[in-house]
Amino acid sequence: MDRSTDVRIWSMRILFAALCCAFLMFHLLPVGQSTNVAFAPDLVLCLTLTWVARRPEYAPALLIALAALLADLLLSRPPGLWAALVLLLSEYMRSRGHRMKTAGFVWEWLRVSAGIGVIFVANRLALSVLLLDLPPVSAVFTQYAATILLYPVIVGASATLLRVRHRDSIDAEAGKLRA
Amino acid sequence: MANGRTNSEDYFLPIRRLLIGILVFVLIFLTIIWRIDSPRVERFRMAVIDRVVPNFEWAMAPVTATMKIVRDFQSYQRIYEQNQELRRELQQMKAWKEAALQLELKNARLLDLNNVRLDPELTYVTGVVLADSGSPFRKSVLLNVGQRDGLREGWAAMDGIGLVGRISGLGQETARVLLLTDNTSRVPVTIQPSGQTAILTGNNSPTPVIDFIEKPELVRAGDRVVTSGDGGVFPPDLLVGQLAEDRQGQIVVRLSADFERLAFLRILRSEAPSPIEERYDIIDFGTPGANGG
Repeated sequence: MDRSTDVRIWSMRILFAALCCAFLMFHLLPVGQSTNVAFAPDLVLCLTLTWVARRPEYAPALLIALAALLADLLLSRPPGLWAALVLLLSEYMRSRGHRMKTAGFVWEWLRVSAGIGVIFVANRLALSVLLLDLPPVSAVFTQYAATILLYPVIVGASATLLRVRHRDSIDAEAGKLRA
Repeated sequence: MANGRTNSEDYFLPIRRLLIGILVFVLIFLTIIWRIDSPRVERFRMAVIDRVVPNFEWAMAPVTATMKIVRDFQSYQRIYEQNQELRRELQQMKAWKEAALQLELKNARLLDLNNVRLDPELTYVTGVVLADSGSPFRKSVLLNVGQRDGLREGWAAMDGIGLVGRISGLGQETARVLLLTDNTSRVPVTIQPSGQTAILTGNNSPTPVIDFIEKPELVRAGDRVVTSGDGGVFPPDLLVGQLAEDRQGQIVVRLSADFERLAFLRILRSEAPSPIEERYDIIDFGTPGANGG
């Protein structure tokens, strides 16, 4: 029993890393220069928050940090800054995961939207403190909106396709099977 | 397993917090180092890209091809209009071709008369676009040529017709081209019939802006914009685009290169101008008496 859960945890961790790489690849696709302004949700962030709230053991902090840092390096952002913010938000969500489950999805979505908003603002503040040029507000807002709209999609996809759900619903199902 | 979270977790939690804190600190420290000593960290970034992105290529190629097919398919919807348009253009082109042939003959004769040799240093390396910048706020592309092919930072990149950008970031096998449309791109240009110099400033939109123009009343929409070669960054007289006016009345440039479909880019080999080292020789001509005369 213990051994099989270990195998499952590690295979899900590898899957998490692979999904992050796939999302990065999607961001990097060379399709036109003007088209990517309107649609640019942060897929890695959505995936991280979803998994961390549901099955924290599948997305260890070190893996999240590495994935986000790789994203920073590949997408020519200041290396480390966004990764640090993503890591902090994911730790916050990790500690709230149990409460999210009882409060329901709408509440979780609001929380996540607020959290993402906070790190977007923090990122902008940090950029201005470091005297870097700030991206235009409208584009950042589009990105923010696209990211939070995509969150339920990622949640649904990982629940149905990859069976990443809150622990109790899985346990209940397993219990039903056993009975 | 869900019930086993009692004692061991109580010990583990503070240590975990500490480790997370250290991790966050390291990441922010990396940002600060990047801010202070950018070239070194940028080299590290290029090294990472060099390792990672070519591995994605096998997976990216089919997806990119599919998306291009979908987009081309959309263009079939207005195929009739396009056909008409193309016919009209073809007519005009035939006239131009005639003119060009005559000019070429004339040019060849004149070159022959003058015994001119074209600059042998203006050769180029052609690269394929591997990847986008991946961020809506940065305009750059990644090529599959790099230091291995003898590229250097700052060399100009063109598609078949016009200037596209410059090399900014080199890996062994990859190079990043900063496009003219990026926020940080500044290129000295000349506006053709009036001969005025200006700076072409990228602003993240498809049409970069003309800045620092001395007499805006001397230029008009449709003027040709070419690189001026000032500052020695680019070779002079590379075609950039045509002037236009946007809705706010700003002078912008409609770029000649097709930024929607960047597939193959030419990197022009250009030698940096030789620096002047012995500066005192220029001011006084060696002898003190030379100043008095």
